Amino acid sequence: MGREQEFTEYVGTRWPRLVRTAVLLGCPSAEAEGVVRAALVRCLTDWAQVRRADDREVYVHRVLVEHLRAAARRCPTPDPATDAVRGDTDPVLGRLLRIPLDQRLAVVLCDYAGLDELQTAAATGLSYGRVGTCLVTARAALVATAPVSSLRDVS
Amino acid sequence: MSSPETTALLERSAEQVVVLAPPVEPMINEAGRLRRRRRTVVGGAVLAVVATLGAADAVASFVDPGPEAWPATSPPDGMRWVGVGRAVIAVPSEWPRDATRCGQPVRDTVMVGGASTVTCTGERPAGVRSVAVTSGGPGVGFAADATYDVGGRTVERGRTVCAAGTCSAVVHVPTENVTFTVASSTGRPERARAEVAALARGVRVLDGHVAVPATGRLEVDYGRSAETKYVADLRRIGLEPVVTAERGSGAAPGTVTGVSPEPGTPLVAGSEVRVRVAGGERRPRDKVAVGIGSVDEDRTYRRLTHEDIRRGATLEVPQGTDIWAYADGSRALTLDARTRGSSIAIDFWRNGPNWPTAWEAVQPGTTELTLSIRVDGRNIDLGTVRIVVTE
Repeated sequence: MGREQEFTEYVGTRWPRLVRTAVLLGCPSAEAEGVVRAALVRCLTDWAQVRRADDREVYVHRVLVEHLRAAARRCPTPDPATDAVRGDTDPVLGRLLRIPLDQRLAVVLCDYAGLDELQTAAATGLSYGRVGTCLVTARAALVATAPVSSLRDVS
Repeated sequence: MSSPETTALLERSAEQVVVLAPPVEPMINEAGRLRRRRRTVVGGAVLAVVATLGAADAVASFVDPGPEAWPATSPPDGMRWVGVGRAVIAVPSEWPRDATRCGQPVRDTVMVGGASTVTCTGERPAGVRSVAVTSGGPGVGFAADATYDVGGRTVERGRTVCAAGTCSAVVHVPTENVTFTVASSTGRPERARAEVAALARGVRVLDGHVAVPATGRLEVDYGRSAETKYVADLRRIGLEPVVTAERGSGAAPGTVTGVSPEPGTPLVAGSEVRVRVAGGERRPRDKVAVGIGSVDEDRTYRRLTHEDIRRGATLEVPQGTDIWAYADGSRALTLDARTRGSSIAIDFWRNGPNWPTAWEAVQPGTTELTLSIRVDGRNIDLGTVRIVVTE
């Protein structure tokens, strides 16, 4: 399978989840597709390295996290208090934007992006122990925020 | 190990984010440019100057012929009307609507309703003719080169401008506030210019008619209020909406998933327009959205949507194509597939993102592919599609 075919297959499948991961990590919706696109272009440019990587998902998410951090440096993390639309319409997202970045990275990558704790540590540069601690704190914060009704039909 | 509670909360928040189709081709092109830039150390500036001079040299404009061939009130044989409000243009009947990628036509097509919702950069391929119909003025810089009277209405026509292999002209109907952009990238400028002139002559204003409004930007602009907005628009222009709720389309509730007759079709005032709208989740099979993608050796990318799969569509691909199925939603990880036929074989790429729901088209023939999810220990089929492999 050629490099571009592999890439097309990967993007065709992963694009929606990567974009939504970026939004959950604090990237404004309007910019999320641009940040993910930039990260994937970077991955494709070095696709040989992606192929050689022990874990492709870790590689791609590490590049994505790097791009998100760079974007956050250019434009500070959104404050849900001033982001009326997102904060008002989605309390979970509002709470997520308020917790520290390390906790947000841990809970979004483990509980939404589908990485395990070891993969999350590799993708974020956090220690394995730190990921575990952040996860416990972030999960407790999110569940405490959610209305009881939204937890009833969790399946 | 993930937590089911937080996973469910995050999935629910994430579902509210509207994600458009991935800009695969522009990403591949951009990566190619980046790789070339890395290799090019000397001579870049010289090449840039040459490219700029070349582009400037390629730009030319022409004066178009007079209005002697404006059509009558019915479209010529083999053509149909497409428009916004009462303003329409004749286009070949076989042209599909909105056959675009990144806002650029990929084959002969008519684009109805304005700006593409896909934010990526795409290049217009050669050999393609298109008509874009938009509500509003022609934009800053438009200068009417000719003014015609069509059925008592003034029509303003700009010059045909040719640049970068594409000739285009803008036609504006001020009384209706509608603009048509006609373009052709078929071969030599003389030929493309003649095609643009012929198409541009097909503008009319149909009294007593009104075109079905476009749906393209509804989801982006109005989100879950899309249905309400669209139905109100139909009533406002004198058409009668008939709304049917559709379960299990995979789209967010309130999304307009289909309109019949299709947007751009002029109807007599008071006609019915059938509007299909996505309903909410109900059964487990509605909690997952699936898709099938494929890419062949020429990098042609084809997709079957959740709806296509549910209605048993056919995907025709050449031998050597990679095919994969994917899912999103709370049951996504239980996606499974079974095949009947031997034209596709399971992909050997075990580390691939879609293993084991990825295949390669290995020989001509037809294979039936059934996708299912697992709920409470039972397999629930989502749909069966036919994969036709050609030589």
